[in-house]
Amino acid sequence: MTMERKVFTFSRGASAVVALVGCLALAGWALDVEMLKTVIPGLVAMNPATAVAFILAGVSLWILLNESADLLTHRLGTMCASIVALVGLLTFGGDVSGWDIGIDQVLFQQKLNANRMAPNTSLNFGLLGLALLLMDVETPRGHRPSQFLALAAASISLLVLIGYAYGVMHLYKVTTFIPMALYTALAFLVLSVGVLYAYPGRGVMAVVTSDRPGGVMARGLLLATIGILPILGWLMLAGQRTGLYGTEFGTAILIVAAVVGFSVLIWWMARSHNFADAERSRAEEEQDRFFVLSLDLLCVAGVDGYFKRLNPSWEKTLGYTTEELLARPYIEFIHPDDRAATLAEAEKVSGGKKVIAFENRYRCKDGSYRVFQWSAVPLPDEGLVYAAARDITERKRVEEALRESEERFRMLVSDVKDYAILMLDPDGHITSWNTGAELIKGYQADEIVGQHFSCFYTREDTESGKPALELKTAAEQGTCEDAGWRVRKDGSRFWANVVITAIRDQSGALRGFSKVTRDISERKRMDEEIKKYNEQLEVANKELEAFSYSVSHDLRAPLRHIDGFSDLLQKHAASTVDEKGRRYLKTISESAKQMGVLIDDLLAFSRVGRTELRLATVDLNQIVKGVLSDLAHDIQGRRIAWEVGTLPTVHGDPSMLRQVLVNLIDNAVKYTRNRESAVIEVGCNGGLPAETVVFVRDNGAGFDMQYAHKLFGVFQRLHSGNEFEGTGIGLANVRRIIAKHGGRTWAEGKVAEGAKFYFSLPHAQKEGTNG
Amino acid sequence: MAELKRILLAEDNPKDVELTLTALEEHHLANEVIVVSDGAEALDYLYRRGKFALRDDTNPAVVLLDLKMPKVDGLEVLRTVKADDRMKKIPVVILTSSREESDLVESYKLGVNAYVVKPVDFQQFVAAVKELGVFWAVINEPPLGSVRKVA
Repeated sequence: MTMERKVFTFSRGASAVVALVGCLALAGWALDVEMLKTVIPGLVAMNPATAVAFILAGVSLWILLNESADLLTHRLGTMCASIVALVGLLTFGGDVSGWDIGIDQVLFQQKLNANRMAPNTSLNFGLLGLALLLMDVETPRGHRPSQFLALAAASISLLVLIGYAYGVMHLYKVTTFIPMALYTALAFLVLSVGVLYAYPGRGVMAVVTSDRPGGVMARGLLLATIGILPILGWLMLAGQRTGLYGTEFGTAILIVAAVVGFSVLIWWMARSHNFADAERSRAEEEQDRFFVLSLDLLCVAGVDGYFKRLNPSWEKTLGYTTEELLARPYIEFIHPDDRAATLAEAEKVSGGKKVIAFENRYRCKDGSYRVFQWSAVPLPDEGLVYAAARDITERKRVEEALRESEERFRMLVSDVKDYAILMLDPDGHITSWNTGAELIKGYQADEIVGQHFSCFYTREDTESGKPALELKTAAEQGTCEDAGWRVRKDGSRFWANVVITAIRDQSGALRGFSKVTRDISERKRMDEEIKKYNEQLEVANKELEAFSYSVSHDLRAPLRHIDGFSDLLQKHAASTVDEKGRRYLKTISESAKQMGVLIDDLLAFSRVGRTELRLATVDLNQIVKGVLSDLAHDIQGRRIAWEVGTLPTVHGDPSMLRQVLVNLIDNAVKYTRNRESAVIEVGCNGGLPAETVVFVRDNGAGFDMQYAHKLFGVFQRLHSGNEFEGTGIGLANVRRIIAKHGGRTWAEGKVAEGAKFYFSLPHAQKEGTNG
Repeated sequence: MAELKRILLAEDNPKDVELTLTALEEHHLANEVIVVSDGAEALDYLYRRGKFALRDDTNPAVVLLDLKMPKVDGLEVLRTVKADDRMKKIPVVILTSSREESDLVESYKLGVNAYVVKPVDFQQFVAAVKELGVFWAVINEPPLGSVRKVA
């Protein structure tokens, strides 16, 4: 409870006590209880009119203290005070002028027995009544008339009390009138103090009630003065009366005692005052250090719009010197857009309000602006405002950046169409929903947010507890991925890929989950289709294998029979068959053999297509050497100039590459057989950077480039069987084998001049091969 | 020739049988050729059951086996023979039209003694059969039990 509050409560109490005293006295009159009228038997009783006036004064003080009282009640209070003042002044006036108005004779007339209201009583009522009426009045210099009136009344009461104490009648019995009752004097004292304390922080009372050292000292000295002096006076009188000493001696003792007592008191007060002052200046210095040290911007500003005092942070933050800042109205340093708001806020502070968290921008010397957040308290009496500002520019920037980034991210997520991206709370309730989620699942955000995400799962999955299990897995392992059936709003199912990721805050507490769902029904369908085609392809391959097996086995048998039996026929009918018949039989035999070769070649060709490559490192030089040595027998009697260059080592299937070179070299030998001296060249050159190119060139029959595209086709021949025999499979096989190795085949040629066949092989990925 | 060596020819196609026998005869190698027309009969002969239950106990000096035959094919016959300790010593030669690699590989895996592809050219065919006959029925010493002493 504050000091003000305490003394205010005291005033309230005083008003109640006074009113109660009045009531008791009246009751005493009514019931003839002497004790209630006099307190101490034998003394003068309180006049009934005095009692009534006390009741009115008490009520008046009670009401006037209550600031929230309505107008009518307040008027009642004022009225009571007026009556008290009027009664007091009129009675006192009557006493002075001798014109008796007799207000004090109205109540309990027959019981009064010459009990009158004492003149000092009526004067006190006049003073206190006026004091009550003037309680709210304060002069421009801060004085309160009511307090002086109350002090005067208190002095009169004190005089009466001392009179009673010292047994000096004429101190309380003025002139010839009856004395003021003890009871009355005490009540006056209480009432006076109540009025004095009605506004304890105002007027002369401000000094007494102050918490400052001066206030403390004033209270101490006042108490001592009021306490010590009357006691000393009483002791002196008592001593004189018993004849212990004379007036002079008594007076001297009194003075010495007072001097000693007050000296001790003053010394003690001064000491504690010094302590308090030292404490205060220490606190001030400390505050000063903080003032200088503070990173926040501290200032004292005047209501005139200028800074009065600034801490060093201002210079550091804005770049202006303190002198520059003090020289101009502070509003000039504020961003033009913020000036109106700042002035409004300054107005508020001047009006006595505190400012908290007001923000504006201050210009730095380099022209940039800093954002300040203010709190300020006014000191209206001195026309000052104390304010502290914090530079929150950086915080604002970070906040803004964060907000922008969050906004960007939110928009990014919200517009994604191919993925349903949603957030779940830790229990699995949906908290956000994007466009993709709308498209994939069919719900609008407003109908699904707040629902539990298990509604996307099939009934079987929900019953088996899959949604909860997925959340548990994500919470424990950070993430949970699953592919399976999910349900759209319309009940239809789709095959989904789902990734649930736990989201945790910095302390590791689970904040919720993100859930990204993709509709991969289409992919699944395509996967299944591909699988189906693959199966079909496998079946077709199997059939093809069975077919070629059957060809290999069954087609050759009849040919063998044709040849065999025509041969047997020739032998059997040798004597009866003429030359023509023999030629026919020979033709039959030749045709059968030709077809046998054809079938063998075709089977070999189909085998290349079906056989897996058995890759190895192949030295083409060795292969060519082997091919040439195999040929040696066939080319006996031929003049062939072989020009075999250095060939590379490549990565490939040795037997297939051998087949390629056999076919190409066989062709070269075959098509040069009409040359007197054939030239066949095998070499390696050119090609793209990542491949090796090998060629076989001859100076044989050649071909027309116009038909070059037909060369590598199955059964495609550029020469008739009469010119050069062949099945038209060889080059087709070359192309097939090389294609299987990832290479290319092509040819150049000119009729009657020769041909050059090329094939390329891509460089191996593996190290160690230079092919 | 003091010994008569017996050849078992398993061939379903009568034309091939005729051509093979002609080739063997041409070189007087058809000492004794037993012809069966499918794998089942071949096995019956070897195991002396069915219509061959009463044959003598001399095994052939060589079995010429076609691959593609009704009922039980050549590879099956080969597998049975080579899996049987009593039979696996009998030489078996595959004589077939097939040049399929898979057949070749499988035959050798099962323990075939020779694999001959019948040439389309009759002269070559005759030459091949002759050489087969000479080698297996004359030059080669067959295992015990494959030669019948002349009474």
